[in-house]
Amino acid sequence: MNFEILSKKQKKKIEELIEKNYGIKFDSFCLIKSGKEKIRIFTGNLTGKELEALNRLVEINNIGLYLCSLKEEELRLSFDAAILFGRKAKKNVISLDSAQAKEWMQGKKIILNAKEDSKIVLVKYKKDILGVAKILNNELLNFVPKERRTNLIDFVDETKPR
Amino acid sequence: MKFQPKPELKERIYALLDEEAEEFWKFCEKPLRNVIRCNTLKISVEELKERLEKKWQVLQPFEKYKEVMIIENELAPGELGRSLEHQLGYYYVQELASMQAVFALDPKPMEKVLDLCAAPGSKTTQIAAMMKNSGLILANDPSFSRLCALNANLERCGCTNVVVTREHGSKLCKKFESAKFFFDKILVDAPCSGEGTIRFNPAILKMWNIDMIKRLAGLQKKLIASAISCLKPRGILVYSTCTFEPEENEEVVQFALDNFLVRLESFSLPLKSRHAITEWRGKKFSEEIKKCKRIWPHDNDTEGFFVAKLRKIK
Repeated sequence: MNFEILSKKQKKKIEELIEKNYGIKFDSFCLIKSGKEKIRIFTGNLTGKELEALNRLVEINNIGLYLCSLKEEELRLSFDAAILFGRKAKKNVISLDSAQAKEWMQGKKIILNAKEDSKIVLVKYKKDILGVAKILNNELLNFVPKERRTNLIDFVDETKPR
Repeated sequence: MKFQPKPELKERIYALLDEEAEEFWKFCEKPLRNVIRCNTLKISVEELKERLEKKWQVLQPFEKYKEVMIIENELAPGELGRSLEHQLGYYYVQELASMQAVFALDPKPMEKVLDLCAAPGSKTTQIAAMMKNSGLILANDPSFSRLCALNANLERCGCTNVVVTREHGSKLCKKFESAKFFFDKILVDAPCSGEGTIRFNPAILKMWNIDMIKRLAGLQKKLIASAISCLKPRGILVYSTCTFEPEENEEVVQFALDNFLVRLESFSLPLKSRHAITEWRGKKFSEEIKKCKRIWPHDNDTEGFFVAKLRKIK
């Protein structure tokens, strides 16, 4: 597998961007760049050098979890990293109502009522983080991966008796 | 039943179970219960249970493993896999019997674990949760298509401590042995003839044949031998299958006992299990083999499984 272990400086930059964007304090262990823009997080107890040695020894197919993409200065958390770390977010979180959340999980874009600046945000429904979106022209552009979209989500109406 | 068991399979099950064989076949026709495992990497057991109880009846069958939940409602096909909680990776749909191998392995945070035949990842994600995303899991599978499923499940469950490799199991272990890269614990959940999963996949009955058992037993012996070579001294190896065939179970464990410095460990499981057998078709196995466990579908209303726990002596 072609990958590059990020240096301390590169790692710090990612951590700072995550803190700046979402208010999430992030000690990211080992960060790995795979492909042009993809950053992966690995919390296993191997150092970067040990990982590189392992890669020479065996055919590595994948390491850790897809954390984010970084294009120029725009950092976008992956769907699963957003769910894993997003509950600690203190800013840039957009909350949806149940109808919007249903549409969101179907992969649709959401039109916002209030005017918002163009930026990447975490999408939330009640306690759940439902991935990330880009706000553009007052719309939430949907980044829910296709394989995770569903038409059949049953949002429980908590007012109904069981 | 959609497919009828071949006479030879019926006769072998009868030899293993005697009069109970009838009950076994009755259970094979029953649909499986809906079982999930809370993915504690993404949500707490309490929170998941509370939200699922708003739509389903949830039973936690094991005091020690609260993450295991049985959904007692009748569900539409695929309903468990389409819920919001599943899409967000809050739980994994996993059969009770399949969880037992990892309970026997008992992975701890910070350990170095090899999951030699990992795809599609039910046990790897279970190990990652028990290790709280620390230590190291090396998850291997030789098949590219199966690796895609493994990677998707690792992402969905938020596993960050896993390195996935694509190698033939025995070749991979040789490489590790030569580099002195040893593991605290190894799971060999070996490819097998799979009769334990008849309730999930009745087509197994159609595919079943005696030549396949012989071929698989050869591969299983190769895998267990290779795995022992990259286990740390005093390290633990769990060998498991979802078959009832003694050639793929007791005989493979006996081969390991006869040829390597390993011994069998006693262990307990939350499901009812039976001792492994000590004799099959004129072949006698060591009395120690009784420490291995057979899980029969009609004992727990589950699939079938075989689990052995070995420790490397030197």
